[in-house]
Amino acid sequence: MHHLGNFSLMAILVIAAYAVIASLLGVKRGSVKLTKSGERALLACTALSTTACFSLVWLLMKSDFRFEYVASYSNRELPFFYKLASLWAGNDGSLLFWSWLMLLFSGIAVVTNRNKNRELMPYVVATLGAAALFFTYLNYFVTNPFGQLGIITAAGTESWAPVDGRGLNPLLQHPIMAIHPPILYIGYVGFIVPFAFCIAALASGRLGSEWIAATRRWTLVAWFFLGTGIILGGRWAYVELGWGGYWAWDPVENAAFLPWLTGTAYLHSVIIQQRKGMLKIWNVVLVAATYLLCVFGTFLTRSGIVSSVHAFAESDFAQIFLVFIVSATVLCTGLILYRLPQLKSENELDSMVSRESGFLYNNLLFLVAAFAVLWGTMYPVLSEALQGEKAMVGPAWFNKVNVPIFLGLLALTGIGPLLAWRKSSFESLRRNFTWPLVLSLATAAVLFAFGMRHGYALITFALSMLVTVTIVQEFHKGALTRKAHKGTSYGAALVDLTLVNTQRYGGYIVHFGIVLIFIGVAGMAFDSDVKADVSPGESVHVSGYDVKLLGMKNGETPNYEWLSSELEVSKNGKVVGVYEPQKHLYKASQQPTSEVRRHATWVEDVYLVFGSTTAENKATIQVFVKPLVRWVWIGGIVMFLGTVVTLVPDRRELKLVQRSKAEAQQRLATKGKEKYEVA
Amino acid sequence: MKSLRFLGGGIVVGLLLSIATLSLSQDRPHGPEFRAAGEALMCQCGCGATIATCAMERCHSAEPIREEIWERLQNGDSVASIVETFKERYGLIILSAPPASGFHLTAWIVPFVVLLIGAFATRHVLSSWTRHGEAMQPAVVTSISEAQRARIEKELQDLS
Repeated sequence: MHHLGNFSLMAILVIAAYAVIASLLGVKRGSVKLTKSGERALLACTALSTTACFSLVWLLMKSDFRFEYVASYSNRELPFFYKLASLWAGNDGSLLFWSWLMLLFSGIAVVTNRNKNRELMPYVVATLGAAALFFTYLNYFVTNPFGQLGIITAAGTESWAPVDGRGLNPLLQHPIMAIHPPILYIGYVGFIVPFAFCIAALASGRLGSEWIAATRRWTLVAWFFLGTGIILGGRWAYVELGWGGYWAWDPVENAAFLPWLTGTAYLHSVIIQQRKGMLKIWNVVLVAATYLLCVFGTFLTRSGIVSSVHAFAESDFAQIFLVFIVSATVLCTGLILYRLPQLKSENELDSMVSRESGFLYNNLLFLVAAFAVLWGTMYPVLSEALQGEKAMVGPAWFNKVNVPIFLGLLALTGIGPLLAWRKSSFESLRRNFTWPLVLSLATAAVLFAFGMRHGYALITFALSMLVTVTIVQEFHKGALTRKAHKGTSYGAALVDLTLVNTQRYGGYIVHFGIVLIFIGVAGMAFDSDVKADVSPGESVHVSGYDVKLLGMKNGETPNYEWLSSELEVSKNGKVVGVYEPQKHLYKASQQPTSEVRRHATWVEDVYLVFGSTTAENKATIQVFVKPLVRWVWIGGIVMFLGTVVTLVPDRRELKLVQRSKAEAQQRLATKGKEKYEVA
Repeated sequence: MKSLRFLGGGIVVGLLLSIATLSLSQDRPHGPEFRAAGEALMCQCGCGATIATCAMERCHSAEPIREEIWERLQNGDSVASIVETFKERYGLIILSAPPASGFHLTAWIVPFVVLLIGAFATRHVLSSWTRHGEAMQPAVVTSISEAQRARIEKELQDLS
């Protein structure tokens, strides 16, 4: 099977190179045959990549420990689901998986565009083919997962296989962790399609609404998966790592957050290009930056230049990655400079105070947030290079620098929709801002009166109210107008309104999800915890909760041994639940993990961690009380529901497609006329 | 429709009640000082987490440092003095944020300098686009024809 895998990788190298050459030659010679051939070559690469990936999965399922990758990341007792997850548990396998997802996306892009965007497609295929070439080069020559174990004897190297594998990292043996990496990877690789269309638009000079329309859904899908991956990663950290948090500003977390930030900026600024034909340069820069940050994130995870609990411990291909990133950056910069005259804005602004300017400031804050995260992530490397002593940058720095920036973004989330397109008069500002401002100030006053003194938390809750009232106001006003216009019920008008402009109203739902996440994150300001060694019958007390140890149990499964403590949680003398946080000791790796348990309510989570047992047979337990944390996950769900709404096609989008078709027909007609006149 | 309103109202009331109860929490066994000191120091076991968040079993780095923080806080030491003690012992590598002095001041100010430059640049761009717009006064439309009115009506109808 490994021969098939290796052969597939070799074949991709040849065929992807052919796809690039055929597509570019096809454009130069005006040969449809060549460009079609390039597209079919890319589809062949998709099939071959699927074969290579399947080959590794086969070896994992068969527990063929002759192969180093299989022996390193799986073992015989590993359940089927986790054997499959071993595919992305190690560096070599995950890069192969990355390439497969990328080629799968490439294949879908080719198939869905077989009858449209024909002038862009040769460049799209060339870009996708070049990326496939680079990643397959890594798969075959640098991180080949089909390498075999061997023993050096007098007669030469002989094949060798251990009796059992080392097994999958126990921390990864969690249902969320089995799905989190693929979802995150889909987000990462998904941005290659908008990037390829952006390069195609720059190379072909077709910089109108065509490439924007062609990539809107791709961008949203990639953004959706990247965001889902980030939230799932946070959820995994929360329920699996046992430190009571979900976000630690770890370099690898930051690596995923960076393209999400620039991608979000793009999703906002593209609205200006769609409506006003402005920000064209800005949009191509954002799309290129988002994809390059995705690749940079992969580089950070795998190069070993920053230390992270999530990073793959490999560092021998940092230079190859850097060459790719630098080459792509030079190509993008060169193309943007070459097309600069065509990227000028088609319109001008009527006023400094308008929705358009709101979008610009929103973009500024997203970009500054991305810069701050990148700066903090790279600062240890920079300080070591310039000062000779590494200065670490942890949550303390990230929180102090980023919190004001993100609060600015939250404020703009509320203010932006209240500004009118083109120009906001004083009267419209007064009318739109009255209720949101009054209610947000009232929220701050009430919370202050209740004794809340945490400044950032107060601001967060007040701004959350501002955004919520803005969103409610937007839906309410729209529904009332629609109800009057159509004569339907208020509820029907609300649904109708959303479906008529899914982009706008889906966006508001996403904004509400963000508000809920902010509220959940602000709850961290009120976290409390206690850690103690307790005997059965003894209790610990934290934030109004009593947690009593009832007893301890132990047992084993084929995969691990377990020890649990039975904890009774009471509030105000009333028992609210009995939970059994556990300690697992995985047999293959001999690595212990904590399996936390939570008493989760809408107000707060009581987070129970069983540390270990002491020599006096006491249980070391840690209890965290984490207010509002559930709203982070609910916010995530609301955000993703909102994204799904924005993915539903609306009439405006159909009109955009019609307009680009009309533009294309007009261009064809003009070309024909010019040819006729020349003749 | 009633259930929709009830659900919306429920979410808002639930959220507000959840937030309001935050102000009533008093009992803090580990306290904000313990957490602040733990978050100001990086664990040295290689996990990349802070002393407050390292989840390693009986971590050889985090556990003794936590004990020492706890003892020093009991003795009345301030968070700043505790952090300074560890900095003298381990060097900059133990701090979870660079000191706001000397070269490392750049770590703190660069993002805000970028924000300021960006804000000025954005204002400049907006201003140049807007000034240009003011110079080019649009033609004054005094009336529209019936055909134009009918077209607008039709397009509005198409949109709804």
